[in-house]
Amino acid sequence: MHYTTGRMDGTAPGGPQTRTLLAGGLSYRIHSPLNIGGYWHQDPGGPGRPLRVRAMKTILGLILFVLTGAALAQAPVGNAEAAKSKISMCIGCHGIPGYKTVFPHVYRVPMITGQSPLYIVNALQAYKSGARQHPSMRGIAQGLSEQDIADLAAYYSTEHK
Amino acid sequence: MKTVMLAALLCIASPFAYAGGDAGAGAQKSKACAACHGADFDTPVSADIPVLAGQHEDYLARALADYKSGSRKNPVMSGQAAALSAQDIADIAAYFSGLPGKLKVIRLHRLVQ
Repeated sequence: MHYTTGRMDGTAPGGPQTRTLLAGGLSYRIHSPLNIGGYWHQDPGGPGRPLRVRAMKTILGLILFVLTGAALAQAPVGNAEAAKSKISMCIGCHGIPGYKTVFPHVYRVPMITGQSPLYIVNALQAYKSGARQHPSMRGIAQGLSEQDIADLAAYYSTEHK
Repeated sequence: MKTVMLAALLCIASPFAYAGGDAGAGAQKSKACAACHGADFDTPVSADIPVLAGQHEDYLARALADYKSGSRKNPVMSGQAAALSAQDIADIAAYFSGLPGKLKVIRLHRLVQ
């Protein structure tokens, strides 16, 4: 075994034999279940990076894996009631019949009440990412969370009297 | 002489003038649009497709022009708009904007107390 550190401070917690067992044991427990980073095929006793680097990478990989899964599983559900405190940036333009945007082109801003929630979500996310271009809408969309976007979509797709 | 001057004036002015749309011509040119946006243009076939009926004419023209220029991107719309002339866009926008539909404005004064 060539691991040179057994503890974060670099000192060995015992004699050479202890170090070998500790390093080998950790290596097996951490790397075997998911084989993240491809260490499975590497001789755990071979000349590799220090254990703490490899362990850190593995743990980071696991955290990323779990977070990505959680994000994919949780598409926010829109709440039209909650949107009522979030529409102040919308109504200044979309709440005035015939209101015109003037930059970079002059035209009446679209009527959005009555569009489907998915269309509104897609539009706001495209403005947020810059895929759809309008300076004002980009600025506004960048300030919206995924939950805000879902709430606004629910609000504007609902029938209003 | 008057005719010549008028013709000359038109030549100068026309590129800057807003090409007024002909809704009747737009109805003929928008047959393909119905496949996705719905026969009445108020009930799209899929939730990611916008309602067009009753939408503002100048916004619709802007959207089509942006798809045509590539500044707004959508796999389907980019292809559809590429084939349209400026007059086609004006005609189609005039037609859609005149159709009855569910789109509306929630008026500001009803929201701010």
